[in-house]
Amino acid sequence: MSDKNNVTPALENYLEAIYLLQKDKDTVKVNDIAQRLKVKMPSVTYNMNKLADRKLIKYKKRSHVELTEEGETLAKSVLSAHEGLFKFLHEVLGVEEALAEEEACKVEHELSRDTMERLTRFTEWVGNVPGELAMRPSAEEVCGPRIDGYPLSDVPLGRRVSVKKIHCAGELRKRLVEMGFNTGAEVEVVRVAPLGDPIEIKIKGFHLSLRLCEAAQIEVGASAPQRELSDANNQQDKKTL
Amino acid sequence: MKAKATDNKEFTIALAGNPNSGKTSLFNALTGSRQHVGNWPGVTVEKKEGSLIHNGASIKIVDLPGTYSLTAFSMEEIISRNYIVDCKPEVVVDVIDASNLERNLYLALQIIELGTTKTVIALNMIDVAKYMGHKINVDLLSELLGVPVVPTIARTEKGMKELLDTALAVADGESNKKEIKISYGKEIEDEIARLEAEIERAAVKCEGFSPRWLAVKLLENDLKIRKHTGSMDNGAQLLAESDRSRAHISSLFRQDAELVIADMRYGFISGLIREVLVKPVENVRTATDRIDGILMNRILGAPLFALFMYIAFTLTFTLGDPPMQWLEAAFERLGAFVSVSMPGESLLESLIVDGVIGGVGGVVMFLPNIILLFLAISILEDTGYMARVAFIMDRAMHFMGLHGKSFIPMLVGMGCSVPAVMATRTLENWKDRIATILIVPLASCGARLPVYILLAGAFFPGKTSWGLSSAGIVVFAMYLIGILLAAVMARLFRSTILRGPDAPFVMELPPYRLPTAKSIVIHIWERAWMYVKKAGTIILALTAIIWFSMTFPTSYPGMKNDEARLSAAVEAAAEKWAEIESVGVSETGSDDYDAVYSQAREIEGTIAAAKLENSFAGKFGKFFEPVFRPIGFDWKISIALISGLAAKEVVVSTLGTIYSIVDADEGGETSLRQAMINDQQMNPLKAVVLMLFVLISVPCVATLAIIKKETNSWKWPIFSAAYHMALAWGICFLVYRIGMALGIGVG
Repeated sequence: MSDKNNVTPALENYLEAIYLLQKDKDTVKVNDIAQRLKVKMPSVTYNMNKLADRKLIKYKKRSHVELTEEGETLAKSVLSAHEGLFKFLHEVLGVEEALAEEEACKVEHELSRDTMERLTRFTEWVGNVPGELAMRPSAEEVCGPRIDGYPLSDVPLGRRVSVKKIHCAGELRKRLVEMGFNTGAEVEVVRVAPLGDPIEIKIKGFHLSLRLCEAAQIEVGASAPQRELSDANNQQDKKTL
Repeated sequence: MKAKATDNKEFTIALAGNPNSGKTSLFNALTGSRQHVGNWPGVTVEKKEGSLIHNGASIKIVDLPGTYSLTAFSMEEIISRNYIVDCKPEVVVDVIDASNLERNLYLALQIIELGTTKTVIALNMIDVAKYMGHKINVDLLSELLGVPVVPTIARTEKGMKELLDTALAVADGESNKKEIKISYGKEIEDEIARLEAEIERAAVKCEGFSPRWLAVKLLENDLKIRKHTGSMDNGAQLLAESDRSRAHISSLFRQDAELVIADMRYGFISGLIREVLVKPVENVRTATDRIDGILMNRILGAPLFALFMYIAFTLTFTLGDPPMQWLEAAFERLGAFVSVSMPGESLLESLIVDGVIGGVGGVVMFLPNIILLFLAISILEDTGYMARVAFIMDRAMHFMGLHGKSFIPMLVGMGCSVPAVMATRTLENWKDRIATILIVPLASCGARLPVYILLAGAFFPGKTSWGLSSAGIVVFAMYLIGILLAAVMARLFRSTILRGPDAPFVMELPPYRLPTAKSIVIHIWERAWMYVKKAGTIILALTAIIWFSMTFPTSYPGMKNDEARLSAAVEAAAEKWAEIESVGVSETGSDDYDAVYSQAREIEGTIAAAKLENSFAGKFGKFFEPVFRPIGFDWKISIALISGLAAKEVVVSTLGTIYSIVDADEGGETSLRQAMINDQQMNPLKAVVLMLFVLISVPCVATLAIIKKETNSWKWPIFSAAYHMALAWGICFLVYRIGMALGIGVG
């Protein structure tokens, strides 16, 4: 409580979430934030009070949340730092999408404004000078191959990823599809069997087992942003209902 | 009163649903004990039917196999689809796990899309969903799907009346069913419309199905529908058109058309879920997560697993042993009683005592084990631990070319092959199941142990340098060899006659649930009854044949002579006895009596041995002696091995008869052991070969009978007998010849 104006990385993440939610909807509620950040309601309430103390949001208990002008500026700067870092990691260095997303989240709070601006300019320069770059070895050659999708068998325990493509055919593909491995479905590796082979996967709220050789045929990527999914589904709803 | 569909004599409801959706509980709740288990025609998939009367209507309930979808990939799916379409049940009730709505709706959607029957959805386990904090808007769900939805709790039999009321009302056309159409998006809808027009134009018909459904199935590359279409006039052209559409879709979406369609279906479902389901944030640890945290823990998981398996095995075979012995004793006493009440010694007596009572006893004796085994299996299955067993053991079993679920039958096989073969029902993949059935007899069952003990005890006395008993090591080696052979053979079968892709190990790990007594009792009853009714008759017949061949003909040349000697000896013994009684006990008197008495016993033994030698089985054994000679067996052992077909432990008592030892299995074992050691023909090498032969060769008739029942054909029991015989001979030949050449164990 000594430094009331210190905004911790966690609080910055909350600001970012509120900003993004505000873009989607008119009103942002506490449970929207909880769902987006996958945290429990009480901790959201606790942090909302902290943000309100710092005059970054307008918040009354049991009602919706709104960013103040100051809060919005801060959220925007955090977001642009995040985007810049993500671009640098993913597009320039070729770091795999989910990892780039995760690491950008960690680093975004630590870099100074100046470093961040220089980094953004550098990323832009790399992107804008294909002619000159063509003369040099490509980023892929220097930093290793660009990783977009990767097999589910390589996903560490506890990370959420989303299905990109199923590479097998026949009975296995049919089983996977009927069990809910559709494009965009979120999966999480829960456990590995004692002998190291089948793994336990959580998908659509239930658990199932997969051999590693089967998991290797499922290409996954970073967990798809919620927004895109819901847009696709909304379109579906309108067509059908 | 207007005519109603329900006025028909028989009104049929088909139950469909995902595995683990509580479909079986619901079936049990509806029908109770009025159910009948059989097979779907021509296949070995189990078909359950039950009946009940509700509001005066007599209703037949058909339990369709549990499936996750209705494509034409697996037998279960084809059965379900064909049943719904061809047999036209009045209503299909789709049982849905309310706590797992999204995946369960995939099948529901396909059933509704079929459009051939009226559908009612049983939203089962609604209590579990509530407990998990899921709020489901049932009315809206019903409206959006266009079918009635009835919340049920099958475990406590709640909602059954409402479900039946709704089903009857729907069948009478009282509910205003709304046609819903799942939209697959513009690009695909265009192709569907194009194909629909083609179908109309080509006048290709598939009974009961709408052109739209056909068009979707053609886009999905449904093999059955393609085949059907191909067989029609103009069918080839239509197939070409559908291939063009498929190519078009996959170039648009950069994915195969069937995947695009599945994605669209899931898209529709998640739209639906968004409307009807409110779910709390999903990072709550459920009870199942907590239990699995312990039971599937990387360190604790394996020992706990071993403990559970040990308990299951002990429960089945240790607890099952006393009742088994009571039954055995009871049948023996019954036999003795009959034997005493019948005058003289007659063939009829032998037929009744040895043939019928012995045969029925042989069938009933397995019952305690079967009941206890299926008690253990139903508990493992109903709690959800069975899937974890497969999960833990899959790595090892997959190495053998089998499935994780093959582990339980293998384990049970250590006790008895009969229930082990029955336990293979949990395997869904037919090839995995056959491979498991074929290797299960290689696990040394309890009945082989007496043979091992006799032979190992006789020829491997003493201790090794580490203080372990040699006989113990030999017996242990037999068990190990059995398992190794099982592994080798399983791999061999899966890569030759049972070649095929591995069944995917995409298996649901269902939440833990408390089993209900009712479902366990029904499960045990089904299995026990099936065993008695189906396998029992075959076992009885085969036992009778073996009894017959070992009893007839009842005389042999020179039997009169032997019998005269026997009666003389018996008389002499009686005289001596009278002498002792009159004179009083003296040293010489009792020694004399002992001498005469044992002489009589000896003659008795000789007669029994000669009878057996001269019986059909004996002649059979002698006839096949040339076959057994290369592996070191003479006619005596051939006969013993043939008798082992009835049950493996019978080998011991037959050897006793042949070595003219009366009561070989009761106390006479030591003398049989001595007799075998004294036999110049026998040596340690032959003993090992004989043990190997008992381990590997043809399973007992009870096992063959249950294989016939479980595979629904004579092909597999015959193949099993033939391959076991060939393998046993081959291995015994190698061991015997190599042993002879190296001079090991011949002395």
